[in-house]
Amino acid sequence: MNEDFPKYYDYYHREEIIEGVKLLSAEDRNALLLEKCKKAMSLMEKYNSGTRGHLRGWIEHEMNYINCMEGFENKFIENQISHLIFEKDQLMGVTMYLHDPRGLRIAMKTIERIFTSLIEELTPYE
Amino acid sequence: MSDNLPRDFTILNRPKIREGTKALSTEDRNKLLLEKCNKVTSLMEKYSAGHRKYVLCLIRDEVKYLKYIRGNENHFIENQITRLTFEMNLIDRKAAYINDQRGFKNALEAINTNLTLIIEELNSEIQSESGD
Repeated sequence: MNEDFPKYYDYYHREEIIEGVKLLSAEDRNALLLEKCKKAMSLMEKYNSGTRGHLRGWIEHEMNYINCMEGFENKFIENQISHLIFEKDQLMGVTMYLHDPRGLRIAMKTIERIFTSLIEELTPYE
Repeated sequence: MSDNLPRDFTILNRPKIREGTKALSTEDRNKLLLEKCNKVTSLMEKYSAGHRKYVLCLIRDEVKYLKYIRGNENHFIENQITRLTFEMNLIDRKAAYINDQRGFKNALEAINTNLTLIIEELNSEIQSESGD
């Protein structure tokens, strides 16, 4: 895998991530996405167990990184990433889920489901 | 309910829908939302049964109408309508679900779930209002 581009999200490094990911082979790109999804998923598990505040930022960063990943030929992955970014943007809207805990739970479940199906899709068959 | 409020969505009708629905009472607005959601649900059944192209335009217009309904204070319904709009936009984008049958099925399921949740919420609101 090309080591020249950032492995963590930073607002000022978006271009480098986009360009770096584009240059990866399909196999490496999938492996990187799988790694990011697993990381986000493990953070989500901690987030749901009650350790909210600082984890939210980490999960957001992982999602932002995924948002910068382009060049997938698998349409399912592309569409699931679009869904993920929509849910993230909704969650980041400050007043979006105020007075709507039920909607928040649905959003969190949807995000978990998206990560699960992405991990399923990306995990190579043995 | 006001007679000036357009019943169907067109681009030119958007301001009238926004203003008209803002002026409605909560009860009337909920009834209108319920009517529109039921309409989308019945159209979705046709859509899933295979009558794609023609029905999609009708569903899209109903969802757009829902999007322009203003004055709803229930955040849950608002958020679910936003999600519904997103899913519809993605389906409407020509190339989005080409070669992605699984994603397409997921999207249809998500839309139906959204509609069910909105209808349930509206029914319980309407019931509690009539109980008051």
